[in-house]
Amino acid sequence: MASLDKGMSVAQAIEKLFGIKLTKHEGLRNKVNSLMRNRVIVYNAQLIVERKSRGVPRDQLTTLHNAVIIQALLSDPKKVKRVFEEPNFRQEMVKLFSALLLERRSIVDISLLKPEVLKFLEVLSGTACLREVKLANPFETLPQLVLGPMDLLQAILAQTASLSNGDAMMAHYLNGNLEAAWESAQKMNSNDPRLQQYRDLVAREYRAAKEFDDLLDFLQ
Amino acid sequence: MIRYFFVFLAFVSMNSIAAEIDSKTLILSCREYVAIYDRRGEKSLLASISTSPAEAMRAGICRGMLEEHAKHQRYSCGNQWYQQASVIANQDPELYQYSKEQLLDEACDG
Repeated sequence: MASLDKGMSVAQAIEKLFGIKLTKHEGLRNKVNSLMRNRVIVYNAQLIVERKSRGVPRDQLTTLHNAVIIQALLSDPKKVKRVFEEPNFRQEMVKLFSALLLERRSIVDISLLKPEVLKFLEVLSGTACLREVKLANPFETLPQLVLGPMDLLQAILAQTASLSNGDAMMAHYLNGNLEAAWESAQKMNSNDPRLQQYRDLVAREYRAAKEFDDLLDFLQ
Repeated sequence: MIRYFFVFLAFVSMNSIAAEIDSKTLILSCREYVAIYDRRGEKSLLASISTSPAEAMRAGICRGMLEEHAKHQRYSCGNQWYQQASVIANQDPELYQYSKEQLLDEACDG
């Protein structure tokens, strides 16, 4: 029984992985806790009883590391979980992250580390298991620390005045606001083929959603 | 979308080999119908984003059966489609013991 993995506390795990004191960062703590609650991180329920806190088993450290980085981009813990579990959804998100992260040095004043951005996207676009292979961290500082309760998308949206329509389209789309994404897409004026591809995707989904709404009217 | 829905209904009604829709299936279908309209009430376009093709198909079954049943009543149903679907959706699919016709009657009468 000596090898029984008692794990470590969430705070210890985050300090080990990112060198960050969780107690000083309320925003990040809440977000990590939401990842624990929805079971992206698989932890032993008994540990909660024993230690009155959630323990992170050592074999979950990679999962936690990757989940925190993905959550920097996708605030909704349900979506983070889907990236881990659904290959198709993961590939969709990779395309969106590429459009959001490539070709730029910083995002809402957080510096991006270019080689790390490329490594991050490379691993994520492959089929490597995200519970086993660590993703590179593309951010100089974790967005959760800088932005407090806001997530990256909200922060991008808060800058709408200075935002290009392409960025606004991506941010609204990732945020689940198809109508606003479509409006930004209409105003977008870009020759970037990646963005044009997304404009088509947004337009397609918008039309489908409208059609569905019309059908619901008809069947009401 | 509408086209596929009617093609499906036609398929179900003509093809006797296809699985029967029993009261359990009907209850689950009407839950889907109610859930879709609830999501739609929350935010426009949300219904489409958060409804899977299977969920949409199930909701269509509920709506189609309600209409078919209403046509064969001697009197008209007092309730709107949504209310009728809610009556059915509120039943427990595991415990309901009567036929789907009985369910549809209850929905019509409110």
